[in-house]
Amino acid sequence: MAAWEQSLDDLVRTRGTALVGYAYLLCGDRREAEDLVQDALVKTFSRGRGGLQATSLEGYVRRAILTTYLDGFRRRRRWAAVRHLVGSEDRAASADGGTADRVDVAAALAELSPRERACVVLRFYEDLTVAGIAEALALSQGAVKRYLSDGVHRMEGLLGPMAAATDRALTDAVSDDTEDIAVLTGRRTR
Amino acid sequence: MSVDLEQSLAQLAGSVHDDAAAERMSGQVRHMVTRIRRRRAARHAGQGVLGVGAAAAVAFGGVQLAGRPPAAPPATQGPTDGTSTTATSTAVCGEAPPAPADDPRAAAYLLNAVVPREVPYGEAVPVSTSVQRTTEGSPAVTWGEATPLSLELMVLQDGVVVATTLVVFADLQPDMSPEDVLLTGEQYYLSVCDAGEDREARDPAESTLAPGDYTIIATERLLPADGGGEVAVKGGPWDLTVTDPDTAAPDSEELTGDAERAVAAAELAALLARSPSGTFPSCGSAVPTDDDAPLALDLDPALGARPVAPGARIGASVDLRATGGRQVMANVPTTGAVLVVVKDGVVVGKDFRDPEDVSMLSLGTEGSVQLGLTGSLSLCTEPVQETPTHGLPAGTYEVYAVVDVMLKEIVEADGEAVSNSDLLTVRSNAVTVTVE
Repeated sequence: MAAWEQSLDDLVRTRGTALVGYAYLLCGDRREAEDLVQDALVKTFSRGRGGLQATSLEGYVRRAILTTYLDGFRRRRRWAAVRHLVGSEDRAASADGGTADRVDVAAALAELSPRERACVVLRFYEDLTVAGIAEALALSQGAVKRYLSDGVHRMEGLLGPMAAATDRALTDAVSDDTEDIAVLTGRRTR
Repeated sequence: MSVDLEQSLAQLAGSVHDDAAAERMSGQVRHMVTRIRRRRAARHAGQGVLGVGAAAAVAFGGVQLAGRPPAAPPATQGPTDGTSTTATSTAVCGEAPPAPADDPRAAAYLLNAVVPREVPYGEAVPVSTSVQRTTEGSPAVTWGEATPLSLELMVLQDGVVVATTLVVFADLQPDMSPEDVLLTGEQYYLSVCDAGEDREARDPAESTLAPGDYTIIATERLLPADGGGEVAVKGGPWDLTVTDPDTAAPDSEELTGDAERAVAAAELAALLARSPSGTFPSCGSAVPTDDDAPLALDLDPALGARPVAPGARIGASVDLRATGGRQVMANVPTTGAVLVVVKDGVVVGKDFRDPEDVSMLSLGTEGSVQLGLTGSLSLCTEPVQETPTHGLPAGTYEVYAVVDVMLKEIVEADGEAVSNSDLLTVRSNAVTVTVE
């Protein structure tokens, strides 16, 4: 087995489900997320980068997942059209009582545009700064703030007010423009 | 109650973790390895193409040599355009071409050209050249390694020069893009020796090469970046026949067709003489016995209603359906199904397909999905070539429509849903076709 094949196997075995989780936040469908991860892995390993450790490889794969998602993951709409035929619930049931909340959050995420969704996921799941998000998405920082503002505002409208921790993360993200915070949270007016 | 978005997203991402997902992902590694290998191979082939392109940058991508002058002669054409003070024609009409100079630096390069074996009288002669390095592992000469100065093409008949042209790469700048000197599609015209010296004034018909057999040789002058001065790289000879459309062409085509068929027949016999090997539908593999596949393809028997010519391209449609009352979800190549030609139970024809692009399809108990079917009645090769080289010899063959699908989920007739990530080769019914 070639070294890259071993790396691929290791990455899938140790980080596969984490990658699927990340892809799932972006696309909102488990099977599509698995396809998204596979496509990203194929893209990443096809480039033949040598000498990379699993940690850096995962970063490349996450980037590939994001770009593949934003470039219009071609099976999204087709799968969305036929997913009811399978009829299985995407999210596994759990005993922690959080399933309903997760369904709500998933539904709220589904209301966002792809870029809004990507900004929210990158900020609140990947913990990227606005500058980092802007670089990852090839957007201006102003555009990222706008997407974050619109995205969080819309989720807030569906889920209710955000917790203090979320507010802080949002504030940190846009700390260079305090006037935007009032608009972002929607709880204060200029 | 407020929502902690960070925590909620982490929980949501974690909700997809289960043993089945991990198993599915692990089960896909082999398929991913196959896709990666294929893409790496394609990328490697692509680099080869780029290498040729880079080599073309120090020569040029293509040139049309014609008897009829273009409406506006290119500024770089020589030798009479005066754009070069160093490049001059070395050919002398009616004499043998100049012997190559004994230059060890020139021996480090190889000038290649693609010249058609035949061209009808009066038509342009498309010529594509490239320069390769012969002394190193990487054969392509790239822009920066050498700068092209000029290219001279000489047309010989009975060993003496009968026509020539000289293309001078003028006004080259060190920072010039290689694309700026790619002359693909430009048309130059030959100075035919017995048509007088003033090519601008003479009748264009007079400057056309007469029907007959010729050879072409070429000299490319390069300025390598090693600082050692310019070198003259020789190439050829390449055979060229100018055919007379009224008399010579039919006989010539007949002979060419006979030779083509003889080669194809020999290659088919060699293919059938081997023991079948490989996985269906690779070239030389055996057709597997039928089994209870969850998907099936229905190929219209009318495909074989009329005889077809060797190498004929087929464009049709084929129906993909689930079998046994199942519902099947699978990723299917967007290129559709490929035509596979079988002789004596062995695959002898299958065009190359890159199955990278896929679409997800859902097939239920009712109806089917129509896929495109493409392919040709051409002999396949091992290793696979993207373009088939020979049409199939005359005879009868069985053809199948074949498509590789990635299964995702199968719902059996009793309602049991099974996740399945196998790669499945779906094969249609056989249809007999006659190649004549």
